[in-house]
Amino acid sequence: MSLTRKLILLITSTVFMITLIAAGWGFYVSNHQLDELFDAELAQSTRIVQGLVEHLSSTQSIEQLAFTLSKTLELPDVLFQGDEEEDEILPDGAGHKYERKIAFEVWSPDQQPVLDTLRANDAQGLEPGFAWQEAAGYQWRTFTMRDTSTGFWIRTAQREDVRDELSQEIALGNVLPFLLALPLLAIAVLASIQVSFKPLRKLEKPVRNMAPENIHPLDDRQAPKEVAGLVHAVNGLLRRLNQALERERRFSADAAHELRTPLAALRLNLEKVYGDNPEQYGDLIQAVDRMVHLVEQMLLLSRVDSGAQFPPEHHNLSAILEQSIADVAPLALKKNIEPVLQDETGHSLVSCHSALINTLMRSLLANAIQYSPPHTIITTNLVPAGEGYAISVCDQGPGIPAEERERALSRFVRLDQRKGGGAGLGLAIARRIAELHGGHLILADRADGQPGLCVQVWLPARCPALTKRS
Amino acid sequence: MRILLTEDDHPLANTMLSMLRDDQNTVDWVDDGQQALNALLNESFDLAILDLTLPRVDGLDIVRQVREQGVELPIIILTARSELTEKLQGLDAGADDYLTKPFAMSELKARIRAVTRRRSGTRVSGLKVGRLVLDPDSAQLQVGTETFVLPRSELQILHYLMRHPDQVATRRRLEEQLYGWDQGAESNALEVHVHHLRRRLGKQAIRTVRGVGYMLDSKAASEGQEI
Repeated sequence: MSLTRKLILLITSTVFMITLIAAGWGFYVSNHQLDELFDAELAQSTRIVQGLVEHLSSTQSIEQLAFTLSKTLELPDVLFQGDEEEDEILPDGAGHKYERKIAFEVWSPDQQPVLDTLRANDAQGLEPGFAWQEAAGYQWRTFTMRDTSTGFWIRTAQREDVRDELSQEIALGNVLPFLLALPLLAIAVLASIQVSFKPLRKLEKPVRNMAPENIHPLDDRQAPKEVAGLVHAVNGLLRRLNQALERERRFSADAAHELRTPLAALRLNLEKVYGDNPEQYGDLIQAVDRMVHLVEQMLLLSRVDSGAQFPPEHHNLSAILEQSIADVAPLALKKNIEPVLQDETGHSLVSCHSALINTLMRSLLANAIQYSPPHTIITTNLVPAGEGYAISVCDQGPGIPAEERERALSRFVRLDQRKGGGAGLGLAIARRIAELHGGHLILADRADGQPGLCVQVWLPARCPALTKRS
Repeated sequence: MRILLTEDDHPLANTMLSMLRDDQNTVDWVDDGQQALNALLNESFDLAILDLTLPRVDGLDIVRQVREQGVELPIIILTARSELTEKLQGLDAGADDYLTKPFAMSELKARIRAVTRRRSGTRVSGLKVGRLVLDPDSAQLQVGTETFVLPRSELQILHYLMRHPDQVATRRRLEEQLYGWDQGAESNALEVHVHHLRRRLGKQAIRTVRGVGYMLDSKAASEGQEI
């Protein structure tokens, strides 16, 4: 799971939980406070009625008293009809629909009902104080008291859902903004994560672009503190990697020295005895030359592989190609093979390492010469292609079947074992050099359908890997 | 000719010694840099063959010190490394030529001849390839029994080709010989000059590598194919 997703989930769910707890607590506290408030109000209303009853009972008979009270406190019938959802203020201004949620009961000192807006008929067991009661299908909170001077019992009742509604609204009012803010919070968290992770992405690019020939430590000043350790460790790894590559480069050079000197001695000794038995020693000299060639090729490949330092310069690709063909042409002409250059650019500037491109071309041409029968032509073509140049070297030899081509590019593979000479590294070296320049190399058929192999190389005009360092 | 051979690989040194001695040379051999330096500074040699990687004193240092002391003998360095920088360092230090191991004895002998000739100041009066003999100063070309006086452009081209027989000279290189870096020439001027040369030398003597350049074929030049 990505860090971003993890963080967003963790943060939003935590905030959600906290909101819920806060809402629950708020609900509980406000409920309690509301209960007290409502209870006090209930008691107050009762006392007002008590005052009224006391005042009336001194001048009026019980019947008159009942009449007056009911006239004042009895609710109009219209309040008992109608829907709960209608307007709170009645249309004629006669009252508030919430009034029906408050009821009054008055009993005479001998506990005869005088007023009962609750319509509950429950005179028995009158006891002073707060209580819960069920009537008209609702729960009611009641406060009952006895007027000590007149002996009247007075009870005020309030429907419980009034209280619930209010406390729910208050609790919801507290929670709702939080719930609505939750998606906004998630977006804000996402944005912060994106901003905070930017330095990490900045670190990624140099690592992605790093090639063996171009290893450098990451800039740990750019790294956030949390990943500084990781960057430090990676830098350590890069340093060790570079050292290993450096050792390999040195090994190549040292091996060159150690192998060349004994080979030189061997070759000269064979030359010395060559006169005695030319046939036998001629073969041996050839064998030594082949070995020299193999050593050269292996060392070259190892240098190319380990990414020895190849500072790129701007070169005229046409001139490099001309020189490469000029270099190998005498060998070709000796075998009656005609090398031809078809250059459609004349002047083609590329950033490259000229000696390596020369090696690439000579490898391809040497390969073509080796497999070409006499009296054939090896055509080298140079054309602009995209942001670079396409080079093809086509011979009129036997070619390579499509299914064998990938194998032909691997190292130490000679498809035709009878044709000695090569080490089977030429094409591998050529491909590696093309790749080192950000290009590629493929084996293909001749475009004109004749038998023969076409090696196609593409090189970018601006070599990405090499230009980076300059 | 008295030659100092400095080579720390004994089998190679022994073979070189015997082969160089076969050619009537006096050859002295040392296998470390300090001895080589002492010998070169205190005794008189006609030529030094110097391996670059030596015990005690490095081959490059020997060349530098010898030149600083004003010793002017020709020096050929042997190197087991094929990197261009190493060869250039050797030449910059004052060596006359270099050879990469392993090498053919014939090549070493050719280099020896070349550097001693250059050093001794003996100018080769004429260049000779097969039946062709060219005297660049008088612009005279001798083909077998015939003698021509070459126009300047043809002389320049042939002079270059004869100095590099059996090697392909690119058109670019030949045009540089003719005009320097000013590309003022007509595009087919080179072809015209080569065409004229072929009329004098025989068709086969100068081979064309299409799109690349020309090569003087020493074999064809010897066989003397006429027009």
